[in-house]
Amino acid sequence: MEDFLAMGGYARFVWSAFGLWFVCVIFNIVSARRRIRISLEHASVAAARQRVRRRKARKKSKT
Amino acid sequence: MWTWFHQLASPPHFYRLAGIFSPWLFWPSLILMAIGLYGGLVLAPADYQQGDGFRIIYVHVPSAYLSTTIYGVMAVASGIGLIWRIKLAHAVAAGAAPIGASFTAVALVTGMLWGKPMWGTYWEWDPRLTSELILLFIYFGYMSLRASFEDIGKADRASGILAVIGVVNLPIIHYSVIWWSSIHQGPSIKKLGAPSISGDMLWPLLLLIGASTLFFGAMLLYRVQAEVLDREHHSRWVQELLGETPGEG
Repeated sequence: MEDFLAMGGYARFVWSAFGLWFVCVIFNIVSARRRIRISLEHASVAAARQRVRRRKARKKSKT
Repeated sequence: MWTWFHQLASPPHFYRLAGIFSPWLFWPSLILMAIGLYGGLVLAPADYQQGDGFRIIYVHVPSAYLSTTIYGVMAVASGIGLIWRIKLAHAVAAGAAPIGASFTAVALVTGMLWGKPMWGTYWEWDPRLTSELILLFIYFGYMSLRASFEDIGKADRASGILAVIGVVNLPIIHYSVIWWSSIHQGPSIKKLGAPSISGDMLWPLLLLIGASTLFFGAMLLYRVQAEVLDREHHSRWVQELLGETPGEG
């Protein structure tokens, strides 16, 4: 196990490289999910606004 | 064929399909990646010249491959978007950029981590390294250009032109190790002819390249879904979608 972690003296470089890959994969997953969540929130705000606008327009047409 | 293509390019249809397909790309990509990393770190024998340091290629090659492949996807999508005015194509390009930029950065840094013990230096102004760095700057330029426009349509056109022009950098990256005397080694896997790397070292690399392609596909589908929502948030289908699944995500 220790041999494996030592990577024949290249531990610093090998583990940094693999660690960076791992961070990049996680970063991509988290940021893509966050991106969708924000877009869904924006869309639901837009939908709510449109609903209010439609209701106002209906009231106006009645009076 | 054309009706199929038109259907695919319609945002609600694409949004639905992307939601169905993305898990089928995402989970297999993670499983294959885990197997590939295990193969590269544990099963593959140490290199007779580079010892265990060579294992960096298992993350360096897939990320370098993604950096140029994703740029290719982005440029082709931008071209299609500009010529045929297909919004979905621009959405694909916009969704691909941050993924490409992240893997370009990984390719550069893992290359530096390999270069220090093998070449004795982190950085050299070598054709391959320099052109890859330019690729990273083109990605950043593309994303900041998009962000500088309030109007999505204008952002699509301006950034699309940049993406198409930037494609000249791809052959420079690819052939830099052949055209100029580069410090970077030539390709180990060639389309024609036998690879110059032994089988037990090769399979984890090929597996990781495949896994990272699937991973890119999954991330792209997620991001294009978000792009489509941004472009279509006033349309009926998005509001119906939100009405049916409130607060999901």
